[in-house]
Amino acid sequence: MKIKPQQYAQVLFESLEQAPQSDWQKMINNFAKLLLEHNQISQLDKIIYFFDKLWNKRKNITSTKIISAYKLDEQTETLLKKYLEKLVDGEIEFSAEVDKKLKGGFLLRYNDNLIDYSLKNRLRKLKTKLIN
Amino acid sequence: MTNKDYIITQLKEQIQDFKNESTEKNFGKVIEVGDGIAKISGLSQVVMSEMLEFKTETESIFGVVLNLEEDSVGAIIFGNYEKIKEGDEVIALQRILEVPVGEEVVGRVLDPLGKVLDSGKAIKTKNYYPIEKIAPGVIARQPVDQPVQTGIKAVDAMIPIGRGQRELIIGDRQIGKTAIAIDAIINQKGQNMKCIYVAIGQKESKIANIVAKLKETKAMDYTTVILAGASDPSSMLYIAPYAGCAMAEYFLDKGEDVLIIYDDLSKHAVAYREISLLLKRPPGREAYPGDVFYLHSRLLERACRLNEKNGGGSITALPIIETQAGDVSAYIPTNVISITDGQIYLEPDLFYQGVRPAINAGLSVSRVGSAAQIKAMKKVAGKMRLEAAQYRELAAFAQFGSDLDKETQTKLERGKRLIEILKQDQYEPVPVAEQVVIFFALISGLIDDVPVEKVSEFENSLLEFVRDNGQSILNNIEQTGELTEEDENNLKTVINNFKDTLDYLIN
Repeated sequence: MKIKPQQYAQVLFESLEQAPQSDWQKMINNFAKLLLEHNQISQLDKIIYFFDKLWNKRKNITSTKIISAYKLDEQTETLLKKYLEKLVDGEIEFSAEVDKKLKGGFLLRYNDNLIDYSLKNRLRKLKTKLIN
Repeated sequence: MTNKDYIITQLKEQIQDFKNESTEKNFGKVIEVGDGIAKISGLSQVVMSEMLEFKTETESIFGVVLNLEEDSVGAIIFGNYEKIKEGDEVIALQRILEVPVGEEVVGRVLDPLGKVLDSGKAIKTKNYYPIEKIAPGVIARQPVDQPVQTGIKAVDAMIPIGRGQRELIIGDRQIGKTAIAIDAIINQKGQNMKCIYVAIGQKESKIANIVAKLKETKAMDYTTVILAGASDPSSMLYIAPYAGCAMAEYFLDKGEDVLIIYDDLSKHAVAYREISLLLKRPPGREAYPGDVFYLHSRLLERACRLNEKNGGGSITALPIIETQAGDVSAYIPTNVISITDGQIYLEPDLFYQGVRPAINAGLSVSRVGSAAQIKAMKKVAGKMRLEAAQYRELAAFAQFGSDLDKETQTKLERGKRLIEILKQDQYEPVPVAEQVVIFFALISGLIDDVPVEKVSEFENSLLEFVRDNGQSILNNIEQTGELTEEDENNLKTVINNFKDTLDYLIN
């Protein structure tokens, strides 16, 4: 049976968890070799994605993302970060992205939730309201 | 104030009212997509049959959640799934799948999501109904006691259908199943009935013909056609009957009567089987999933007759099932037969003998029975059913011997004329009062001396004659629903008068 990327990630995560940190480098090398042998190097992106998820879940880290139309000034950014800290418990990992398509405002992503405060979304809402 | 200023002030008002708020959404990512099915990760707060929006580079495509699994969500996709890529974002729309309902849908050809398929303008309705709804309970219902006049003599006399009943039309391909349904729609003119025709997996050319015919007979004024054609993805075929039923429920809630035709549920079951297998649900008998029975029972249970307290409306359902080589004991036919309140069974042998509609009166039943007939019809049809049954018995028997007593011979002769009378051309429904006149002529023995091959000619000219010379009798039947003794005698005289004008009856 074909081994799924999710299963590779699970195996890597579990074996790393049991081993001391000094062995990690070696284990990761072995894991890469295993992937090569199985011809699964192309799946690496997915394996990393799932590994990241597993890791964050275990360590209670929530990765969040702030997407804005323009680069945010520091004051707004800290405000948003504080807001996110209120929403989720545990550690938070921040990342930021600029997306011109939003036209204005921002999007907040955490876990599989999305808070949409973009101008694009608001304009779309106004449009549907005006049509009806 | 000029028009322009009006528009501007309106716009300003609208914009002022507009609240500037953020929205919270649940999102996920497509893991796998193919064959109209997507597997999605994330979406932790999504519920069953919630709508999803797939954001592709060019457009948004909609879907519906059908499977909630441990770490993924299975969904069906409406529309062009080829454009969805792995990793695309999916947003939960926080509402159950709904279709537009209202007076606006009448006279239109729509797809199951309410998009317009005819040349007219897009429809805009105030109301939306969820496509899945639990059927009305016992308390809200009342017995079926009003007739649906299909205008088909064989059906109205032998297998009467009541408002709120579910009557299955079953038979092989190319044998006139749809024809019965379309005739029934055409005959609903002026009967206070809205009609919905749901085409599931049908050829678009066939539907184009049907729509043209409905327009020609002005039946489109009260009919909606929901089309999920043979080229549509199976997700569309799957939701089509539920969408049609939701539109019917709008009229039901207004206290109106609706006739809905599902053409046909065999293809619906096949579409659902396809979806289920792709979603990796375990297959059962004939590879259908475990819940095909529920698939149809929950749909047909929504047909009902509500009591006065609940508006008094009704939904009459005529599901159609196509059998393979007359095999009614296959999985889907037996299921639907057991759900419905009776069936109209069409037989190839009869069809090729020229008995059209090819209704097998022996195997066809209506469990509502004569409760759904007007009194006049009850009077004549009861006797007719008996004559037909006796004829069937004798006809098989009479093939062996040639010497028959006189009584048997008259029964056989009358039976032959009865079969002739029940023949009817397509698109020519007969009003109930005229049906009563013909059946009356038969059971009182007034057609016994007409040669069998002349019966249909006799019938047509008799009706013409009665329309000219006995209009009051027709009116009485129409208005009171009864055939009084006096009218009976008058009718006898009229028929005898007519017979005197026929040269082939004068010896």
